[in-house]
Formats: sequence, structure tokens, C-alpha cells
Amino acid sequence: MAVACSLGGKQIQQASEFDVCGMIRGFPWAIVGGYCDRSPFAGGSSTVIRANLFFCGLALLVMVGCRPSSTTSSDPTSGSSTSDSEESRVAIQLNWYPETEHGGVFQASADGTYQAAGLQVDIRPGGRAAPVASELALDRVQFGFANADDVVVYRRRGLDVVAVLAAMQDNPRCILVRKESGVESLQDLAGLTLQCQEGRPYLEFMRSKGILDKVQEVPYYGTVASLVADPTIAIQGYSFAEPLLAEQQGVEVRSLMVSQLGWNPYSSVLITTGKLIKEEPELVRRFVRATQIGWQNYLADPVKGNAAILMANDQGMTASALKYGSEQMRDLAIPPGDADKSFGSMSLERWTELVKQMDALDPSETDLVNPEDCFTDQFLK
Amino acid sequence: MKTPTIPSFSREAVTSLTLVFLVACLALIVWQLLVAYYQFPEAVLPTPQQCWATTVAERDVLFRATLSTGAAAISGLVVSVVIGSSMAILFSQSKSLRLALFPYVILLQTVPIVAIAPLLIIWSGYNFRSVVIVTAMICLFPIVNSVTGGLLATKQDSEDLFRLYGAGRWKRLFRLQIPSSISFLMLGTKTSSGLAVIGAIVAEFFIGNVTKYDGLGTLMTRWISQLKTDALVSAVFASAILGILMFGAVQFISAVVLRRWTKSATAVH
Repeated sequence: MAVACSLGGKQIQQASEFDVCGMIRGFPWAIVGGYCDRSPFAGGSSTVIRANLFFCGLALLVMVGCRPSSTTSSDPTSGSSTSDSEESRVAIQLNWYPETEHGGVFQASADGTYQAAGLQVDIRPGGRAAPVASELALDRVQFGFANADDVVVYRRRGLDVVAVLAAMQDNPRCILVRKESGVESLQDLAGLTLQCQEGRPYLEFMRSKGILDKVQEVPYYGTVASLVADPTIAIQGYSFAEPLLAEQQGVEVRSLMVSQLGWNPYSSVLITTGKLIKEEPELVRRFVRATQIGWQNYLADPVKGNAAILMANDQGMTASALKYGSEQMRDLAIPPGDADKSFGSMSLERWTELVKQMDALDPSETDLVNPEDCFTDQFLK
Repeated sequence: MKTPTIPSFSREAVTSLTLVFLVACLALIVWQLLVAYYQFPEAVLPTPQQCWATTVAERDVLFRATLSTGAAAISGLVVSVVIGSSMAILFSQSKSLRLALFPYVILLQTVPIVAIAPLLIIWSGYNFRSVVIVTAMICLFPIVNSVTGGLLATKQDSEDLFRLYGAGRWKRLFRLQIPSSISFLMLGTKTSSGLAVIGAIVAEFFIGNVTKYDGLGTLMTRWISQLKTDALVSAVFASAILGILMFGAVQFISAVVLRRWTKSATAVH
């Protein structure tokens, strides 16, 4: 796993050769850590011949299945041997498959910004059920990606998670429909089947507006395929990714922004734990600043970041979709009028509004979260 | 007339229940100690009491979800019993048919259902039928496999007897093969009864439950997303209980309703 995920220098190339492990990683619920790199069978020398054969067979399977064809098999400790004592190692858990919404960290990793800051960053891809909160809570990663509403959810569950940078000021959440469905606004969704991630707060918000009353809600599994196959289907999406992916498959789509209903939490939010902020504020500062620079570089010229994302994404992402996405997201990241603000900064008013909105959605969970605890701007330049 | 001593059957049941209860207590204690020792946050691993409290608080939702998922699991299991037995009968009648088709039945077992589900949705749509198809696909193999085995595993003496009396293919099938394969059918169905619950939940992950209420799979997805780990644990227990109930129901049918044919088998298994 570590081979595919740590995108430093030459290791990027290996990611594309990664096959079986890539499939495991892409599998929604797999939380497989390093299994393929540290095979206990690789040096098995049992005296019992049958057992030996069995283990050899297994070792072979593991090696054939998981190793890139050439380089790493001779260097089984590729991850740890290169760790410089000067460099701090941090890991970041993404909340979805690598996409433009994570552009800043891929850019900073690919163009050497993290290295210059003395950081060795392990980027861990997510998926449908990315375990961002639990990975943070168990100190397996130091940073994570989330939406602002997730931060509220995590804090309600008693996890001390703090937002330190909000890459997207405006929320990209949209509902995608086919043009020929005739649906022109979120109010017309009745009768459609909506693929969405059950349990997301934006859905509760839409339900509270009565928009989903006559909509069949079904699971979303991360591709635009159903939308392409069936005009009565609508899917959840991000306005700078899925619309183009669908159009590349030959259908015309319309994206309906959920933010128009008044639901606009910060997105692509960098989160960490209150514990790390208290114990290692300098590390947090270095990482946040480097990521901030990464985002600014990415928005100026995303070529390196997009190449790194393409390597790390095995979910059918295309170079042109990434290019389109990184252009489209500029206005969400730096809305017109925000240009003079520090990149990624957040305001107490917007956090307060979000907490108020979410409290209204679920009366049983009101007053569990204080907006002031949700974020800090102190590490931004 | 009643005898004063406890019959051996119920004595065995009491012993069994006591042992099961002891294991449960031990597991709960270990669980509680783990949480206490490692100080896991509630979102990572809640204590048994927290899970119990959530189970009580969410009991209506959980009960409806269990019924909903149970309906899908039972339908899938019934469909797979019907289709599986029919296929097995075909396989028992022709060796070439068996050789030609059995590998494909194995294929059905080995193709990951999570890969099939999205395709199935495209072809069959978001409906109860799709949930049942996924469930039946998961349940099918153990049934085809054991019933085919049962139909072919008739005793040589009985075979000789039937041949001696000049019994034809149909008489042999209905009077000899099918009756002697019923215990095998029940064995396969028992294996599949647990798989049916898995199948229904996996289907709900992809298709959703299209009945009136959310199924356990939908609840699990929601609670994962909301990081309600205690509720998630209670949903896991609900699905385990559903699996046990289904297994018990099959066992009951096997031991009581089909007793005539499964007597020898239940004594062994």
C-alpha cells in the first residue's frame, strides 16, 4: 500500500503498475494496511515439504499479485529505509478517491513543496466509506480531508477534530440530471431515482425542504455509469468533476447546485486533531502552510498535481476531466471578492450558521457542538 | 405418563444454552475491558452498555429494518431453493449436462457479488426483484451442490432393488433419488440461510431496500456515514440474530416437517 500511496519522486511511476493491490485499495470497505509489502511468507523455510510448497505458492501469489514488476521486490523496506531523520513523516487520509478536490496535497507532494518544508507525506486514498474520523482518532494519520459538515458530525460523536484550512469556500455539491429529463431545478426532482450517499447531512437538508419527498433514494457507488445508462436517474456529484465525466460518455447533463438552497459548508477542508495542535503545533503549522502553498500552486498551474492524481486514481479518472475540474474549481476555491483573503481561511459566522442549520435538522443533537471549537485559522499564512 | 427425570434432549439443550450464555458473558467482559484499557473514543469502539442503550433507543427502526431485510433474505433463499433443486435434478439426469453446466454454477459462486450488483441494477433496476436476485445468487451454489450430490449418492442396495423391479427413470427419480436427497437439500439450505442475510445486506448496500422501510444494509450505510458506531454495532447484532433465526427456522423445518426424510441426517449433523 505504502508504495502506491506515498507519492514522492520515482514512487509515482510504480503506482500505475500496481494492479491487485490497487483493486483492493479501491474496494469500498477495504482497510488494508501494508499487507502486500510485508509478506510473512516471503522468506519461509519450513522443513515440511508440503507446507513449504504451500507457503511458496502463497508467497508467489502474494508477490505476483502485489508487487510492481521490477524495482521494489529487491527493496522490501522502500518506505522506511528512505526516511530521513530530518524529515517528519505525516499521513493524510482522503475522504474520497483521489480527485481534483484533493489537488493541493497532490500538488505539494509532486512539486516538492512538502519536501522543502521537511515533510514526508503519505497520501492515503479514500472511497465510499473512507475511515477519516477513526483513522484520525486512532492516530494512524495526522491529517484528513472532510467537509465542514463532517467536522460537526465528528465533534458530535466526541472526536476532537479541528478544521485548519478550507480549500473550497463554496460547496461544490450538486445533483446531476440528464438534460432530456426536463428537470431544471432541484424543485423538479420528483419522480426521479437519486443515487446518493445515505446519511450525508446535505440530504437531510434537502429532505427538510421537501425536495426529496417523491424521489426514490438509492445508494451511490461512485460512478456516473447509471446516469449514462438511464435518464430517470439523478446522481450526487461535485460540480467540477462528475458533469464532465458524464458528458465524456456522451450524455448531456445539468448540474443543480445544492448551495442554491442555502446549504453551503466549506469543502475540501483540511482537518487534524486538537491533540496534535496542542502537542505539535509546529508540525501542524508546517503542514498547513505547505498545503496552502500547494493549493495556490495547484490553482495557478495544476499540471503536476493532476498528473499525481491521475496516477493515484484507479476509478476511471481521465486527464481531461482533471484539467476541467481544476479550472472549474477556481471560483469555488477563491470566490470573486475573496481574492485578498488568506487562502483557505474560515469565518466564525459561517461555522455558526452551519452548526445552527445542522442542529435544526436533528433536534436530538442540538447544542452538542460549539462553532468556535470547529476550526482555527492560526496556522494559515 | 411423565417421567421424573429430565429427558436427555432437554438436558442437552440446557447445557448448550448455558455454554452459549457463558461465552457471551466472557465476550462482553473482554469487550468492556478492551474499551477500558485502550480508552477508545466512542466513535471507534463503544462499550456494550452504550450499544445496548442505542439498541433500546432505536428498537423500532431496527425491528422494521430486520423485518425488511428478512423479507428479502427469505425470498432470495426460497428462490434459490426452487431454482437450485431444479438445476440439481437436471444435473442428476444427464452426465453431459452436469459436466457442461456445473463449472458455470461454480462461476456464479466465485464472481464477486459486489461486481455484479451495479450491472444487475442497470439490467433489472432499483426494485425488490434485484435484491432477491442478488440474494438468490449468493445462496444458490451450496444448494445446487449438495442436492446434486444427494441425488447421486443413493445407496447401491436401493439402486439394485429398483433395477431388479425394472423401475424406470422417473420412478427412480421420484421414489428413490429425491427422497434420499432431502436431507442434503436441508443441509445446503442451512448453509445458505446465513448467506441469504449477507446477500440481502450486500444488495441493500448497492440497491437500497425498496420496500417501505429501510433495511439493515441501508441503516448500516447511514450510521457509518454519521459515525454512529454504537448504532452500527446494534445493526450488526440485529443481522446476526436474523441469520440465527433463519438458520433455526430451516433447522425446525428439517427436523419437524421433513422428519421422515431427514431423520438419519439430523442424527448425524
